[in-house]
This record gives sequence, structure tokens and C-alpha cells, in this order.
Amino acid sequence: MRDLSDLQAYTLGRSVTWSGSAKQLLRELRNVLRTASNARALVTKPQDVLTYVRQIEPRQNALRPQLQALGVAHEAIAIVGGDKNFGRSAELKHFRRRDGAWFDFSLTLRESTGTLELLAYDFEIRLPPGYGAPFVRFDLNLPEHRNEERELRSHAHFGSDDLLVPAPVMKPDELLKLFIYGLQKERNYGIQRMDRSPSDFERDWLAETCELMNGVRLPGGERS
Amino acid sequence: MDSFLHTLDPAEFALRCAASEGDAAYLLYVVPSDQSAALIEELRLELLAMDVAVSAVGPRTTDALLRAAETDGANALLVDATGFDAEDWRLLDRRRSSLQRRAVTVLVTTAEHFADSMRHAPNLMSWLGAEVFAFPGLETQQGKQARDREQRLLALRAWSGLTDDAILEAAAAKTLPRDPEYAEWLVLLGRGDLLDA
Repeated sequence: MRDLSDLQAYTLGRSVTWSGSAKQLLRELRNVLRTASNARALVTKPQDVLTYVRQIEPRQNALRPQLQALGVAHEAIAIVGGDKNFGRSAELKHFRRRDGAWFDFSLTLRESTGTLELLAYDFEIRLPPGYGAPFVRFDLNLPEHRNEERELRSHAHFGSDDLLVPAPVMKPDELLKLFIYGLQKERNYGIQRMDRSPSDFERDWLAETCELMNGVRLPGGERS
Repeated sequence: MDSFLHTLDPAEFALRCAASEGDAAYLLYVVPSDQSAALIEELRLELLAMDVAVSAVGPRTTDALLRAAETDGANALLVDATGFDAEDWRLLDRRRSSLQRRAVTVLVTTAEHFADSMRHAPNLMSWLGAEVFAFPGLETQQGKQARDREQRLLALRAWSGLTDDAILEAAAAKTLPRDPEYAEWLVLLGRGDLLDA
């Protein structure tokens, strides 16, 4: 990523600090989801929105009094929506759109008196078949250590945990609204249009990907 | 108190109130006395966040409550009843029909005064029926939070194959990856101080 420092600066150009409290942010995020539930954009019930979006209390830390005395006990907090779901299992708690897309998220912030600072997040949505990618995830990493090669701190993944593309840093409510109301299949406008048919390239790519994933054929034509 | 009253946190209780908006609904919320002011304010903010127009009736004012019930047009009346004594409850019991309004009335009281209300306002309490809830006790809250936190830590360990100690050592050595999962991990361990390491 050595040549992308300007791009890195651009994607991080927005402020990640705003006035407010963790409780206010919780209310705001719940409100976005509850409004969507009431409008039937989400099938997740309002009651579940309340329980799924919460602040996770950290373990009591025996070092805390010493850290406070040193003035380095930062009030870092974690706000999450749904369960931690690395395996992408629909059995765990998540939010679900009317079209079957479903998502969860986690945020790490620092709360000072009257101010919130966004430190890191991951928001991932899993899409129904035919949507072009099985999942989309927006990540904001922690700032890099000094003197280390910089990765793109704010980026997105489209169907691959290995490939990442630059993405602007976004506020949590913006990401939720993108997941709820955006990332939809293209609609017809006015003149009736058919859904775009996949090209031969896409068909072949999907078929070969399935073979690879099932271990039927390895790259280079070897069979497992 | 947790043993026989259904517990709801303020957001869940506010959602229940909001669901009754437009109906003549009466709910009672029992809270710890040392947190009553903060919880009443939290309830007020939760209701506002749910677009419920709410009026707050201050403490120790049965007269103000009765006046507000008659004249206040807000969709929800949030009453600090933490200071109501036996005489106040008896008055409200006698004048319960004056509380009728096509809106939500929420009475917030403490465990100690809840016992008074049951004793001195039996008709009012009968009227409330099942709409009596309590703020979760500390043990319930802590237990729920601990389970939630440990579930997430378990998922993080399974995903990475690493231990909590390994994460802390890496953070202190400034070699911890910068992915958001590790940020959450440090916070859950109570070591948000290492986020800037």
C-alpha cells in the first residue's frame, strides 16, 4: 500500500469525532433500526432491535485505579448489534431485511465528557443469492503503529476477506442506513427492464469457484 | 423485587409505553431509590427518542399529577412517584377515576413505596393489573452483561486461535494487528488503555 498514502488520507478525511454520549448513540442506532422495522424495511421486531443493539461492559480491570492515577484510563467502549459471527451463521442474532439480506455490526469508541471518537468498526451484510457478492463488509481499523507500513485503515470487502478496496470512513448511523435502504438490487424505472443476465464470464467464474471450494479441481487443472 | 416482578431495562420499558400510545394505559416502574432521578430522566429520553411526546410530573405532587391528568395533552405522562407516602397513595386510590386519560401514564416508584402502593391503593393497583415492571437488579444486570461479554470473547478466541494473554502481550509489544476485532477484544478485557499502544 506504499503508493496509496494520499488515498488513505482522503478516505480518512472526515472527522471521526462528534459530540454526544454512548447512551445517545445507542438510542440513535436503535431508532434507525426501529424505524426501519416499523416501516417493514426490516423484518426484525422492534423488541429485538432493543436487545440486539447494546453496549458491552468490559471486564473489571485490576489495573484501572493505577491507570486512572496515571491519567491513561481511557473510556473505551464497545457497542454492538447482533452476535459476533465469524462463521456467517444465520442462527446467531442479526438484523434481517425484507429481501432476506441480513447484517450485524460492532463499534469501538472512546467516550470523553460530551464527545465520542470512533476508533474501529466492522459492519457486515450477507446478501441473497444473485446479488453479485455473498457479503459486503466495511471495516475501520485502528490507526497503524508508528513507522509501520500503512494498510488502508478504512476499507470494504466485497465477497472476499482477502481483497479490500478503499472506502470513506462513515458514521455508524450512515452505515446502518446504507445496509437497510441501500445495497439493493437495481430497480426498474419507468420503462420495464429485465434483470441484467449474467455474462458467460460470470457464469464460468461462479462454476469454477464452486469447483475450487468443493475441492473438485485445483488451480492449474489438478484434481484433488 | 426481581423475584416476582417482570424486569425490563428503561429502553424496553419505554418501548412498552410507546406501544400503548394513543390508548388509556397505566404502567408502574419500580426502580432503586438511589438511581430514581437518573432512571426517570433516562425513561424520558428513551420516550422522546421514540417520538413520544412526554410530560414529566415532578416529585411529591399528587395534586400536580391529578391536574396534569386532566389538562396535559402529552401522549405520555411520566410521574415521579418516588416520594409518595401512604396518604398520597390513598388519595390516588380514591381519585383514580381522575387519572383517566386517553394517553399513557407512567408512575415511577421505589421498592419501598411500591409496598405502600399495594397496601394503600389496592384499587389503583388492581387497575394497573399486569403493567407493573421493575428495573433489573444489579446481579441480574451484571450476570447478563458477563454472559454477553464472555460469548463474544469466546467467539474472538475461536476465530483467532489466540488467548487473551497473547492478545495483551501483542498489544503491549505494539505487534497487535489493527483489525477492528482486536480493538473490541482489548475493550472487552478492560484494557482499552492498550488501544493506543
